[in-house]
Amino acid sequence: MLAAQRLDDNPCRPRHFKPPPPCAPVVGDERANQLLETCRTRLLAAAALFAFVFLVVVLRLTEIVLLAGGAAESHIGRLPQAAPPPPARADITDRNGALLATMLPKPSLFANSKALLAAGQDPEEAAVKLAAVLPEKPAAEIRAKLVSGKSFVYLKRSLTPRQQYAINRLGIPGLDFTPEERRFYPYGDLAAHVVGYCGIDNEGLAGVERGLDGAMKGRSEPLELSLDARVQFILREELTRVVGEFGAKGAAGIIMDVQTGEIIAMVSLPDFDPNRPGGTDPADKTPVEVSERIFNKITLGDYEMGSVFKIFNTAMALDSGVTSLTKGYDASHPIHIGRFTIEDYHGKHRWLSVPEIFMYSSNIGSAHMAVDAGAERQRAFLARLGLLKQVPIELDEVARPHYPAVWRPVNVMTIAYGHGIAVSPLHLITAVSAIVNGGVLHPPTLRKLPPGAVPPGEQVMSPKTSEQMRKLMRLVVEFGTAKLAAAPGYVVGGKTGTAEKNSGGRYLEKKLLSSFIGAFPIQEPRYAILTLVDEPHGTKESHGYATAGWTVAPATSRIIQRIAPILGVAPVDEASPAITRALTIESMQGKRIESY
Amino acid sequence: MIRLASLFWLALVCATGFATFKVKYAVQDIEEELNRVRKQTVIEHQEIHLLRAEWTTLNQPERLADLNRRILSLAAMAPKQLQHTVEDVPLRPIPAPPDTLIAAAPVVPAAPAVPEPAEPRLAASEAPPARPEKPLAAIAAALMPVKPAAAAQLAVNGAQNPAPEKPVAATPATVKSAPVKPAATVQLAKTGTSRTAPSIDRLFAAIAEGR
Repeated sequence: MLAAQRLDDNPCRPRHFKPPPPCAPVVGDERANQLLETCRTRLLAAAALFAFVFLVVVLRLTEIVLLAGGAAESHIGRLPQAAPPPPARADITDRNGALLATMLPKPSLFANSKALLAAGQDPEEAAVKLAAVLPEKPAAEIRAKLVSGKSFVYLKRSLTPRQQYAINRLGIPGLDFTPEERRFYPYGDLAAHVVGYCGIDNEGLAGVERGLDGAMKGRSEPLELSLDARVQFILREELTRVVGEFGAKGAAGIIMDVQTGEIIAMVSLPDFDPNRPGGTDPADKTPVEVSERIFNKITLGDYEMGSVFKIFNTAMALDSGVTSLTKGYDASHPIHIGRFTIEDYHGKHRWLSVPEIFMYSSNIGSAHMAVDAGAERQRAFLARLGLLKQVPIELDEVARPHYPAVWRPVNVMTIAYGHGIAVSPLHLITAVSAIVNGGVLHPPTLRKLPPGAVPPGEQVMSPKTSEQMRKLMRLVVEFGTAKLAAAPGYVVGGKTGTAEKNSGGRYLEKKLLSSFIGAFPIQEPRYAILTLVDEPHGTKESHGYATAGWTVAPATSRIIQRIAPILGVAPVDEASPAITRALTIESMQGKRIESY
Repeated sequence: MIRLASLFWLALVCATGFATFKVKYAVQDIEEELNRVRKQTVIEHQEIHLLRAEWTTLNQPERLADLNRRILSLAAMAPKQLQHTVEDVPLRPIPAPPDTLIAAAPVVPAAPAVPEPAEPRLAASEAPPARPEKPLAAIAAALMPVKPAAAAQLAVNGAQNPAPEKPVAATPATVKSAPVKPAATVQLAKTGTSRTAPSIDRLFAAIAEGR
């Protein structure tokens, strides 16, 4: 009995097993009743739970199906944006977003000769059709490839999108494309030396392409350079004009933001087309060596810059307190030292004050000034300005300056007027920017800085010296050698330099390197500009002169007048009291300034 | 009782199952659509990229300068053309006496409302009114309902240069032909009336020629 009851209670009891009928109703068994009651309650609770969950599902379904989605819509915004895969190399743009370099699909066309012949295509006809689309390939050559019987033969590498479209339209069987990407420079030779170029496998070989090769790879947003393509174009156009006008070998120019060190434009002529760096322009009558085209005069050229170095010499003498604007030196006699004789190109043969030495570009006065300051000070000052080491910049092509290992007295004298030391134009503009901007040296950069950001700089001289130098540089443009560099309204200040090129230890009188370095507006400088021309020849218009004052100074004036509106430099009235007050040198007040 | 409850739940289960499948297929469709759109977006991105490169090539400063030399001959900006503030810009000199055509303009807006021959300007017209005529302004306004100002201008021209050479074909109320006027007037009348799709540019060109 008990066993039967136990079986009946067992929920796992097999169905075919019938328990023996109970002998008597089991009533009054308290314990059994209680058990049954518990079971029923549990069952009910479970059913209620299931019903509840099921109802929730039903409600949600009703919401989605009958009430159009409910909150489901909100997920769409969270889905990742559809974007093409990042290019093999990031684009390069100028500071305004104009594309300087980009990747373009350049599919290659290949033929499957077997398939083509199997499809019954007449190779003769196909070759003629293809030759019409690919003008540089003769039909015979194409035909030979089409009947070769190979299953893969390149017909043409690097097609343009138009050619690809045209070939697709021909509908010739057995032709196909391999997807390939190539670097493309829409502006061509405009910023060739800055942007550089890439090799066949899209590896950077020069310029920023090489210097920032790592940053360029696998990056989807474009790399913004500090260049301004419009300014770059103007600089290049005017320098090209100078080269043509004076029959020069080459020219170079650079424009820098003096407050940040950003390079706004950098041109070196002759230049090249980065789309085909090795190629020469068939229209060019006197082809220039490829190596010379690719050579970046601004960063890689080491030049004895000549008189523009008097900026540093004067700044050094003023900053160290050796001299002042009221003092002066006797420049009436040439200096003989060793086998050298230091003379003035435009001698005044009298005592000259410091502003006069600077304005008339007196070698004798500068040499005296340098000797007064001493070799140690001179060397330390040039080192502070970064002129004795490589310039830190995002390019690999940078020159190491050349200077004497032992700073002898004769070196002190020649370095005062820019001989016996060779630096790159980039060195020069970086140092001059520091001199005019209040004495803060910023490393030059080719990458765009966020607007308003001022990178940390190093104070290399007192702001007072900087102010004095600005006044002196204005004096040169107002009364001195650089009168033709004046740009009405933009208050240019600067210094010219005409150096004889050194070849094998001898200075060649006919081979000049004429340069102008300046800043504008000089009372509150924003941009520094350096222009130089390599081996210019005098013309009738320049009265036979090939010096900086006649070659690059007028070009600089034109450049500044054209770029200032683009750079947002507002013209001012140069005769206004505020500006004359800011630029007057007290010691020169009331003196008759001899015309240069 | 238990039967009813079971039926209810069964029905609910069926409905739920059906709805679930419906939703599933709907989602599948949407996902397919999404994938298609994403693929299309990528293609469009690439095309934009290509077009941008082409646009930049077309915008080579050298090319633009050359185009300017050949077509526009724009000169570089001179410093005196640039000013710091609005106050620095000199005032425009007092303008020359305005053109008679333009000066007459403010009179017109009332014209469409005025019922015909009483209009004094029209009375000056040499055309003998064969039929009851609408004022020219009204016709013009009917021709160009969208550009009332231009229509008014045209109406003024019409009113001043007495009558158009041809009747207005496009409107039911036509204007009778009148003696031919000087060439400019004829030209004006033609451009002013004889087309179905009036263009504001042509209208202005006509006014300029009429001067």
